[in-house]
Amino acid sequence: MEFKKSISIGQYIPTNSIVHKLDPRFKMMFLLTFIISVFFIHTVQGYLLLLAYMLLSVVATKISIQHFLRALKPIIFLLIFTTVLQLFFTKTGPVLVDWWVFKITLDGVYQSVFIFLRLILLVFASSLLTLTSTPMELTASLEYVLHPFKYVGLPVSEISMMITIALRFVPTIMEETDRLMKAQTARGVDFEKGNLMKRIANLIPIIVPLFISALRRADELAIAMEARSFQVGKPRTHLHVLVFQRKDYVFLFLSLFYVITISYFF
Amino acid sequence: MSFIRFDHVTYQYPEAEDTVFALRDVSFRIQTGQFVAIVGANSSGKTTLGRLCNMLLTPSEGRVIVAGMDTAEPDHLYPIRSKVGMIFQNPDNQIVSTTVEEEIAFGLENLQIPSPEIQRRVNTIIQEMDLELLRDRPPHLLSGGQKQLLCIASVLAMEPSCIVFDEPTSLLDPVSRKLVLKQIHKLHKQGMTVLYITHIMEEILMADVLMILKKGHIVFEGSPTEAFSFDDATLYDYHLYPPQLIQVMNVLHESGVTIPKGIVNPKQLTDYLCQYK
Repeated sequence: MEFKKSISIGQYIPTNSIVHKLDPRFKMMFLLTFIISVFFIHTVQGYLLLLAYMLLSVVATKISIQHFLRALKPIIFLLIFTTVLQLFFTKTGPVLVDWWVFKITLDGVYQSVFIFLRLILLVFASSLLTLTSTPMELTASLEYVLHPFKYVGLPVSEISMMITIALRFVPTIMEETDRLMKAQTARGVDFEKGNLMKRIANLIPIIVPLFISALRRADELAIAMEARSFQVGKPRTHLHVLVFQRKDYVFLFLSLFYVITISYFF
Repeated sequence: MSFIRFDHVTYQYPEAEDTVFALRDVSFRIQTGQFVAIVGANSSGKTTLGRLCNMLLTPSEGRVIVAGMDTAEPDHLYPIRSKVGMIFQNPDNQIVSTTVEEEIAFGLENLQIPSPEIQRRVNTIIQEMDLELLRDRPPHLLSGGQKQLLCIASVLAMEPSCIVFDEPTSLLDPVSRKLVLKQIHKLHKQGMTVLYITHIMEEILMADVLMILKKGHIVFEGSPTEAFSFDDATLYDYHLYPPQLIQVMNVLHESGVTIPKGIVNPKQLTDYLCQYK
């Protein structure tokens, strides 16, 4: 049971803040604009203004900054690597340090600060969406945002359903992996010992049954869905219909205005 | 009036050998509001029979009529599926959504019911089945019994007249099993037609009618107590063993105590024995 509780579907943290109450479609559209803007800005002032906006939003979520920083953990290597790379391999601009084979230029410092801030802003912006929207809201928003592509043959509803099912089954598959690992450990397999090849070989008795079981589950789930009248391509209604409210328009307008202005002038 | 009618139904799976039939010339009627238990060894055709009632399968030969509609007619697909719900063995493999209330709404969304009506039905079912505290909970944090109750709630939201239960308690612990059985019993009392496929002999006693399947044929159709009065060889042949209650009644009978028909639970037996002189 403890293992089960440690798994959460998505990253949603309910705090009932103003950001939580905003329409998830607004948050998704804003995220897209924000990501594009981040790549348009080329001045430190621009980045600082965006960072200020982002920190204000983080405070407004009433979610501890720890959760946002935790999202940086998987990319920490990439963050350091690209920052260092920019710092030492940008050759243009006035030279600040020239020692042995290392040459640091002013452009290099700027570039490494930019790339550092860019990555942090991107992670924070995505976390802002995922920490304040339920998986259900996210898939509904994705379906809405991708809606125009329906007319060029993209199966938008099916993609949204696939994501929902994937999210729903993540904990189930993880539980199953845990069970299989315990079963193999009971038979003497040690997943911690041995060289890389040995460790990979040890995973085969986990992966094969996991795949077989996932396929069986998929088959049974398809029958259960069919029994409840699901049919691929058939239109569906929804329990919760997302409705844009006045506050969503106000926030959307103000945020877009701010972000687009910064990316235009800086 | 019969709610489900099987007329000389034969079913063969497309991938099966020519001589292997899941069901062979099966005919029976299930009346509205009846509780029918279906038992039989593995591969005797129980699940196939259940799936034919919901149009998950259509007969190779013969006719299945559900609520007056022929399952061979494609136009009857959705009317039949909204009339006959199905609950399967493993609740984990039938839950689609990421929260309890979304799961209850899933079938209704498929039937293209307008949002306000979905909300009304979901709220009603949540109240009736006492799921309010679990409303926003993700399914993986529910117990096995709660998951199976959620599956029942999701089917009930579609307001069916009949539910086919395909071994719904076989993966549950005794407490969860009791919870699920209580709910099924309650539904039957409210007038729901129930088709109950099981391997657990104690559960059969709840039924009005017992059907025993063997190699795709119905070999017995009658009351559960009647079936358990067969000799040991026949019971073994049908893959049946008498539940404890029946075993106690048999011992009492051998000791000279007359046991009347219709006793199907320990309370009834105790009440009868208390008055016995």
